[in-house]
This record gives sequence, C-alpha cells and structure tokens, in this order.
Amino acid sequence: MFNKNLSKFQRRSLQLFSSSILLTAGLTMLTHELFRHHSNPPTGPLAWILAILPALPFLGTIYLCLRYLAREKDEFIRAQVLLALLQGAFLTLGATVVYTFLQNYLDIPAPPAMAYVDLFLITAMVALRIHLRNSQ
Amino acid sequence: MNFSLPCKPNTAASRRYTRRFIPTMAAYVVLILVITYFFKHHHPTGLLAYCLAVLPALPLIATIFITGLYLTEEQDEFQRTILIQSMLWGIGATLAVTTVWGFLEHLANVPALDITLIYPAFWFFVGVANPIISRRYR
Amino acid sequence: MNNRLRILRAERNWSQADLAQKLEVSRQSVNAIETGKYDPSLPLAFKLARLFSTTIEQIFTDEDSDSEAQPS
Repeated sequence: MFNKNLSKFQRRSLQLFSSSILLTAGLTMLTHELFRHHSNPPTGPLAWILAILPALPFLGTIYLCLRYLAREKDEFIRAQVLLALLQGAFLTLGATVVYTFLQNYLDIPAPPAMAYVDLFLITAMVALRIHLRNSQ
Repeated sequence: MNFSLPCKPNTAASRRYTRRFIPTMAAYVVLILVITYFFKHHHPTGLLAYCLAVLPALPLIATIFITGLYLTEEQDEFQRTILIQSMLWGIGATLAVTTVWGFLEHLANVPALDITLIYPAFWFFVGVANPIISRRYR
Repeated sequence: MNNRLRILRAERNWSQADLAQKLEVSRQSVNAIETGKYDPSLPLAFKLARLFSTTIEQIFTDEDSDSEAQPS
C-alpha cells in the first residue's frame, strides 16, 4: 500500500493497524446482521455488550496508532504521520462545525457520528499518502 | 468550554495566537446572535439560507487555522511538541468516544450523538491532556 | 541523551530562565532539555553550542557513545 522500503517495525504496525480495522468492519457487519435481520434482536444489557463489541478493535486501532508514534524511530516518517493526523482531524472538525449549523438553522439531518470517524480516517490516510509521495 | 490553549507559553507566537483568537471568537458570538435573530424573524430560504446558516461556522473553522498557524509559527519546539502531543490525545479520546457512542446509537437505541459536541469535546480533551503531558517533562 | 548544560550554566552563573531568554524558548523547554527528557532539534542544538562558544559534542553525549569503542 505504501512504499516498499518500510522498516520491519513499520510493516508490523501497518499489519496490526489494517487487521484491527478489518476486524472492526467484520464485527460491524456481523452485529448489524444480528440486530437488523434477526427475528428477535437482542435487548437490554446484551444489546449494549453486542453494540460495544465492534468498537473494541477500533479502540485497539487508536491505541496502536499512539503506540506506533511513541515507538517510531524514524523522526521524519513520524513527523509526516503526525502532520497527516492533525490535518485529518482539522478537516473533520471543520465538517462537524459546518453540519452543526446546517442542522441548527435548516433542520438538515447531520450524518451519524460514525461518518466523521470514517471521514477522519480517509482524510488522514490521503494526507499521509500525499506527504510520503512528495518526499520521495 | 475552554477554547484557548491551556498552559499557554508566553512566546511571540502565542501572543499572536491570542491576538487572532479573541477577535475571531467575538465575531463568532456576534454572528450567532445576528443569524439566529435573522432566521427567527425573516425565515430566509434557498441558497441565502444555506449561506447564512454556514456563516457562524466560519469563525470556528478560522480558530482551527489559527491553531495550525500557531503550530507553524511557534519557535519554541518543545512547547510545540507538547501541544501536538496534547492534540493527538484529543484526537484519540474524541475518536474513542465517538466510535463507542456511534455503535450504541446504531444498535442499542441510544440517542444519537449531537455533532455539535464533537468540536468542544476535542478541545476539552486537549485541555485535559495538556497539563498532564507538561507535567511529564517537569 | 546526557548533557552538560547544568555545568555550563553554572560556570556562567545563568539561571534556567536566563538561558531560556537567550535561546528564545520557555524555561520549561530548557528544563526538559537539561533533564534529558527532550532532545533538541539540530538548529536548537547549534544555537546552544554557539551560545556557549563550543561544539554540540561538548554539550551532548549520546548514551551509545560509551559502548562504541567495544566490538559488538
């Protein structure tokens, strides 16, 4: 996905990162199926536990990201990742602010909270791609 | 709500940040009052309504740029590092809360997370992380 | 990374705040560098070296440099 000359640590981090994202996606689909297409969907505490289940690997993703940044020895690459994360966050925050007011004044339904998590991940990834390409 | 940089160092860049931040937030307050009044009494429609509704978002977006500008202008690299680390924890905490809540609202019928809260929540988490991170270097 | 900043400061009778002012950084930054909790960038390290009229190597010593002489 990125360039071929990754260090062993970077490759390992990338593998863990993508596995946790895939696990999140898999569990999301699984629980969605369980709740939406099952004759009697789970209720009460079980519903809460099952609903939080797909969030757990994503919490792992966040932890992996922070751990990666703390352990990355390549200062330059770390700086590029940091910059991309900040740019993704700033762009996502901008989007939430715009939708806040569209929702308040025009009653336009805002996208669900999860859409912003996706927006952040995509913008941060694209930003990182661009930075790494520009530095080649 | 704490929109300003917590534990702000007294550098030229941080003074510039304050000089930019205060008028921007003042503009935000004025815009909120004016636009709310306008919507209540004149009921704008179409493109005009869209443009007016987005207006108060502009100063908040500007505060994001002002923070970015501060990060590029701050000559004290250590202070810059502390703020970047705080923002990183802010991103992590906001993402974690949003995700957990997102799944709960999707599946367990928890009321939808009001997106109005995401922007202040981010700064709240940055504000909490900042003194903790600063203390680690003491 | 180890450093001799405290000694160099003492020789000139400068407080952390004095050094911070000369470097145009905060006192907290000087303290973090001095206690080895924060490694300065090259530009800041050169600024420090110039300020004390010495070289970077005379101020900072790498933790690995002690074991460099021994074969690995």
